[in-house]
Parts: sequence; structure tokens; C-alpha cells
Amino acid sequence: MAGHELIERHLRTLAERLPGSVVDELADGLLASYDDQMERLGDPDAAARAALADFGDADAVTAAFVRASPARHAAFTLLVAGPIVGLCWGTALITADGWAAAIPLAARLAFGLLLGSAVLMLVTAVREQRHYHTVRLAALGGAGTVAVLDTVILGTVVTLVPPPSLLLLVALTGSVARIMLAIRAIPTLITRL
Amino acid sequence: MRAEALKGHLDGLLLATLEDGPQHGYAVKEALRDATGGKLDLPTGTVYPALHRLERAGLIKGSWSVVGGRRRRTYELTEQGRRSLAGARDQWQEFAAVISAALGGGPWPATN
Repeated sequence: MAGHELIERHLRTLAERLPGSVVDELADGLLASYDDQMERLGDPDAAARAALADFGDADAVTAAFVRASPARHAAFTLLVAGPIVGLCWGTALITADGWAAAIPLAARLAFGLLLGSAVLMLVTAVREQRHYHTVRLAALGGAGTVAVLDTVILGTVVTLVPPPSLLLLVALTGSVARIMLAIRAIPTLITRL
Repeated sequence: MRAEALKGHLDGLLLATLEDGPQHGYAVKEALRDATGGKLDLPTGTVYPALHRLERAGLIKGSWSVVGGRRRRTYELTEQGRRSLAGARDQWQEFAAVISAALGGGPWPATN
């Protein structure tokens, strides 16, 4: 790649944070800018500095990509849905007619641990600013775990056949909606930038 | 011109640069700068995320080529993008007419 050491260093930093195809595209833009500046200024060092100043620093560029990423949006939606669905299940279980007591303590603890890790992954996806891959992986992990947890709770209800109630119906609907949300997001998180 | 002034208008501005034909990211940024006599000179690196967002929204379509040994992604307007650009133009004209009428209509009444 023809260019300047400063440009190469900038691109290496971006390559550590962004997907390869994005870096290829950014490299083309940055090198086109460098060529323009070389034509204007004639000095490689001055041209590289001018091109980099015009391009923006790596933190700002990465943050702009992360803000616009579908992974971050999916994670945010799932995080917002979390407390709503959680409140529905909490109310349904507290007011349950004893059926929830049949769920073993170990299963409850495992569920709680998985739920905590899902929340942690989704929060990471929303808060991370500098590493696009981290955002994508965290959102993917969070969405997958949420889908598994909701499926498990649906399976538990089907197995235990609790007495029907409006609260339980609302909670089940919330879980089904969240499974659909997660399943719809997962292919995008795998295939898209 | 300050970047905050562009809020809500950046998409329309980027779409407008592609109206005459396909462009790559750096050319889009340069076209925007040239069209505004240098008053709108966005950092090159921040134009790309906006183009990716427009592509995900189906307003533009990107394709790869190799130019001078470098991989280059070029964008063109889709039909949906053309409609969105027309809508952005209408909204802007309406907004500008309202604000111009308010700002150019003489001194504001005294408040005290």
C-alpha cells in the first residue's frame, strides 16, 4: 500500500478496532486524501499530517462506526425490553399459586447466572466505544443467551402446566416477543457489519 | 459551519452528492465540500459510518472495485434513496421558508 508511515500507523490502529472491509474502505479514502494533499503541498510529511487531520482521529472514527452499528442497536433494544419482561415474570411468579416452587434451586441459580451474564454482555455492547468486534460479539452473545433463557422459561411453563392467569399470559407473551426480537437480530449480527 | 447545525440534514446532503452518479466515500466528502464552497468540510472518517447507515436503510447501494491497486467501495442511489432525497428537499424548503419568514419579518416584539 503506497502511503506514508503516519498513514500506515493510523490504518493499523483502525484495523485493530474495525472489520477488515471497513478498514479497506477507510484506507482508500485516507490514501486518496493523502494523494490530494501531496499534489497540493508537495511534501510527504505535511501531506500525511494534513490528510490525517482531515480524516479525524481513530477514536472519533471508531466511535462513529460503533454508534451506527446494528449490533449496538439490537443490544439496546434487548436491554430496554429486559426490565419490562422481567417485571412481568417477577409479578407472575410472586403471585403464582405454588407451581414455581417445583423449580429446583440449582436451576433457579443457573438461570440467574445466565441472566446476569446476558445483561453484562448487552451492557458491554451498548457502552463499548472503541472496539467494533467486541460490540458485535457482546451483542451476539447477549441476544443468544436471552433467546435461550426465554426458551427455557417457556419450556418450564409448558412442562409444569401452571394454572392459567392473565399475568402468566402477559409474561409468556413478553418472552415470545423477546425470542422473536433476538432471533431476528442474530442473523444481522452474524452477517452484517 | 458547525457540525451540530447539520443535525437531521446530513442524510439528505449525502444523498444529494450521489444524485449525479456513483461516488466513493472520499469523493462524496469532497463533493459536499465543493458544493458548499468549502463551508461544509466534514472529517473524512465520519462520512463512512453515515454512508453505511444509509446503505443499511436501503437508500444507497455499495459495490466494490479495484482502482490503482486499492479496494474501493462506490455508492449509488437506490429508488428509495431518490424518493428520500426528494422528500428531504421538500422538507428543507418548507422549513427554510418558515424560518426565513420569521427571521426576515422585521424586529421581534420587545418582551419587557
